[in-house]
Amino acid sequence: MTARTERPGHLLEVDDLHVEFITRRGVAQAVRGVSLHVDAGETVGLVGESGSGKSVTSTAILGMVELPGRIVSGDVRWRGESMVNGPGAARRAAAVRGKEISVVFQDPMTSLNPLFTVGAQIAEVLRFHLGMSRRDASNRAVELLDLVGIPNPRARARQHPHEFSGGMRQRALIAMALACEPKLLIADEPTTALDVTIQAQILELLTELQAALGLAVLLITHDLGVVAGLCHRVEVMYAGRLVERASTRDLFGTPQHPYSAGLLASTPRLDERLARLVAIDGVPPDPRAPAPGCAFEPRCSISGHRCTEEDPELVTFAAGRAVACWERAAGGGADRD
Amino acid sequence: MVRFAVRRILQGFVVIFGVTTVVFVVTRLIGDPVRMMLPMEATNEERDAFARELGFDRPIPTQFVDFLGDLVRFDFGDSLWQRRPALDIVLEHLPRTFSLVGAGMGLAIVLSLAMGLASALRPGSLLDRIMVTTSLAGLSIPEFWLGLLLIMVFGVQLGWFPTSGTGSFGHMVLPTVTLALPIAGRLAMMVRSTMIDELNRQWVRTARAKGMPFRRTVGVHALRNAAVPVVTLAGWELIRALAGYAVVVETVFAWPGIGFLALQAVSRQDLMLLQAIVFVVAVLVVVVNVAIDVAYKAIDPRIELT
Amino acid sequence: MSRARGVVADLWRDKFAFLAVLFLLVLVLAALFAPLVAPHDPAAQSLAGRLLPPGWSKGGDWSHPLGTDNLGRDVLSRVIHGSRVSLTVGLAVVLFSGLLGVGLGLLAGYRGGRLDAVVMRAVDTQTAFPGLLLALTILAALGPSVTTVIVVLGLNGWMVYARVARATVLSIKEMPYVEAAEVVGCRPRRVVLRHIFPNLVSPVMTLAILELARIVLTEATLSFLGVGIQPPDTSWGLDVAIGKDYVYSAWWLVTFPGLAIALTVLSVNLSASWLRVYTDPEERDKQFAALAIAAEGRSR
Repeated sequence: MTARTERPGHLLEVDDLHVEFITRRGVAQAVRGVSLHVDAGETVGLVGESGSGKSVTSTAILGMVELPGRIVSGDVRWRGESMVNGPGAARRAAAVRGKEISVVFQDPMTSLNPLFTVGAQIAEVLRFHLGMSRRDASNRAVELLDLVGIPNPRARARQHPHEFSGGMRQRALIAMALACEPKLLIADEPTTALDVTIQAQILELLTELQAALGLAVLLITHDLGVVAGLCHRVEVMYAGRLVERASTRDLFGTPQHPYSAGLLASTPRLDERLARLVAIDGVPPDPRAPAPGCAFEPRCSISGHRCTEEDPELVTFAAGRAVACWERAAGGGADRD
Repeated sequence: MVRFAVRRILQGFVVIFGVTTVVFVVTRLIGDPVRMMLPMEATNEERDAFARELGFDRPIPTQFVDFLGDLVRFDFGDSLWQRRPALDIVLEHLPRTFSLVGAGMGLAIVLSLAMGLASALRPGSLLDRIMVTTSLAGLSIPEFWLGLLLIMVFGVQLGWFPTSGTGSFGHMVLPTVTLALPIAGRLAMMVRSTMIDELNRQWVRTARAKGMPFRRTVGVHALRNAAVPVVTLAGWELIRALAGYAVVVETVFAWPGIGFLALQAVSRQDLMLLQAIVFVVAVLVVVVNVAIDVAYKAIDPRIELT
Repeated sequence: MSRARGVVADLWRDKFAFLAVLFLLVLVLAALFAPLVAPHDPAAQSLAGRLLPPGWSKGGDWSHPLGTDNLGRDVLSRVIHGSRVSLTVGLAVVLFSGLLGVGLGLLAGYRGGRLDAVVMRAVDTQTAFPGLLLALTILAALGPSVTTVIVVLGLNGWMVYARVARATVLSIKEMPYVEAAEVVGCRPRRVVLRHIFPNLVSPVMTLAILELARIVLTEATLSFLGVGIQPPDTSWGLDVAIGKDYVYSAWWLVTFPGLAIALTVLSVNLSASWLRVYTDPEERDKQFAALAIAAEGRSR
């Protein structure tokens, strides 16, 4: 039994996590000191582009980091108990996976085993984690399919994944993730592989379910539109680090970090007329060779002298708001937490 | 499913027809069957009489029609060597080949599953590299040489096992191991690479994320998907064993099955017997092929059966 | 130049593969320069020096390092000369069936339609033929020789090349850049041809190497059974057949030619296996990471 942390009450806590990948051409620092938390009932968005380290973070939370990657340092705590360090951590992680923390992965096309029926795959979770009998699990699986809005659930449960459309598969995956009534649902790009109209339906479904079941959701995405619709607050990641933390409203209204601002600016709005699309100049840095200063500096329009020398820390300057930027922190009256 | 099986069987007939036609063409058209089957000293009268008796003096198309007619009636003529219906001789020797190939395949499958799985679970490790090298060594060794080596070591030097013929269980050991090792090598490589691929699939990650224990993700999710290519290869190996390796292994160990028979037929120039053997083996091959295809459908519901 | 050095460095990392490639190089050289390398004439008989054991055994003679056979012929020289036959037959068959198979496969894939159906039907049908037995029968009927062996094995092995070539063509035809090129105005045939060959090289080369190993084994087996290479030519399989009668008295007659076969095939397979890992970046990375972490663990 590990000691409780100083902050009781956080459901999930990620503490200064470092994850690296060993490749032939060098060691890639995928996650460089990320700390975040999720509390019961809230929806947190983890935003970043491809390669920012957001998916790796979710993998680490589940305890599923495998070669060529590995967790170098830091901790992931579920209800105060570590799932990374110390004796029994791996066992705890295995017990929690699928039962208290569930995942919906990005690609519905390949997340289901093509050789087994959809119903059987949902029932598997119920039988294994909750010890249900075959018949009970089967019936519950049908109920779950109904819950996520799949018509004809009893017939569908006996079908194979290739007989489902993309949107329906995603719903089935959500049903599977919710089977054991988890406290936290990690949704990794749940709508990226889907058509726009289906996207909207899935997001609506997630909102309903969250309200009905009191779920906490960690939504990982690169799409700010999805964030706006669903999340209470947002963590923005860039090059393996968190660069901004804010409530959704605050982020969209007054983004502090230049990267966040750039992301928002590059999303065209229906009520604006644009001469050209706005993009952020430059490309993300190579994770194998992190620069000593701020990772965003080469692309930043407000960078100053200190930015090339020291990597800014995430600094809380108001309730629930933090930013990792020398220029902003200096101007915004930083308070070290 | 029935329609599919019927279609496959019809295709099988085409194969059998093709095989026997090839033998017909090669032996009658290109080769000279009379010269092949009679000793050198035979006089011209003897040759002519022989040709007339077996119908080789008639025009080729007529011969072909006769041939087909005989084929359908399973009449392969009498073996020149034993002066009995050729087909009977073949069928007498078939069970011994079955027992050898059966035991060999069984051993090969067990070995390859064990080695392949152990390797796939830890790719790149020392265990894996040893397994891979052993498998590669196993499949690189010619069966006849392996058989002879085993005879020399275990039969002659150590005297543990008898080295030829049949009789006791001990007689079966060396031939079975000889047949099994190269097959096990190939199958193990296939099991390993297929399992490595399957363990990397997204649905296996999902199963892990669902909290399924490792044994289940491997044994249920990965293994079932891996079954299709592995079963395919095992089926091919069975066919090649029946149609080829059996000949070699039986020859080395004087195991009286149809492979041994085939070689004796060759050395005695007994064309009739050879034709019968080829036909029987072709039928066996077709049967195994159909069985594999039917097994597919049972494993993978996605497969489009055409 | 540095690229070549990189390849060699990678090869060196895998000691077995390195040895395998080295062995193959030595083999090819031995085959090419056999008359110069072999200490004796492989056909030279000597009644006095029959069944001499290898040089290191009692009664052996270092002028015949691997012993002599029942006719007094030097085993080492026969093994060296045997490599010529095995490699020649192997390469010839691979070339023959490769050209035939790739040609048919390309035609089938490119033209499609009726031709495709016919070719694939032929592939399926012939693949179901009992290979070795049929080869045995045909060679027995025709009379075995180097040429007939090559032709029979070649005709027996084209199907797998056809399948691979056809699959490549079909996947290239589907590629968006082919469509894009057509939209821009290039003639479709040119585009397909230009893009097919580079994509064909890799899978066909891998296949050819594996087939080479298989053909060497098959030729040895056929020669062993007596329907392959005939005396006075030397072949490893043939030599093992000769040695078969002396299993109880002269173990070296079976061992060394067979060892030559096994080492050759093993080297080819190891090289192919290394090549496969080398050309698949994901596999390489995983192996690399595993080794790195293991090394780190040891040094802690």
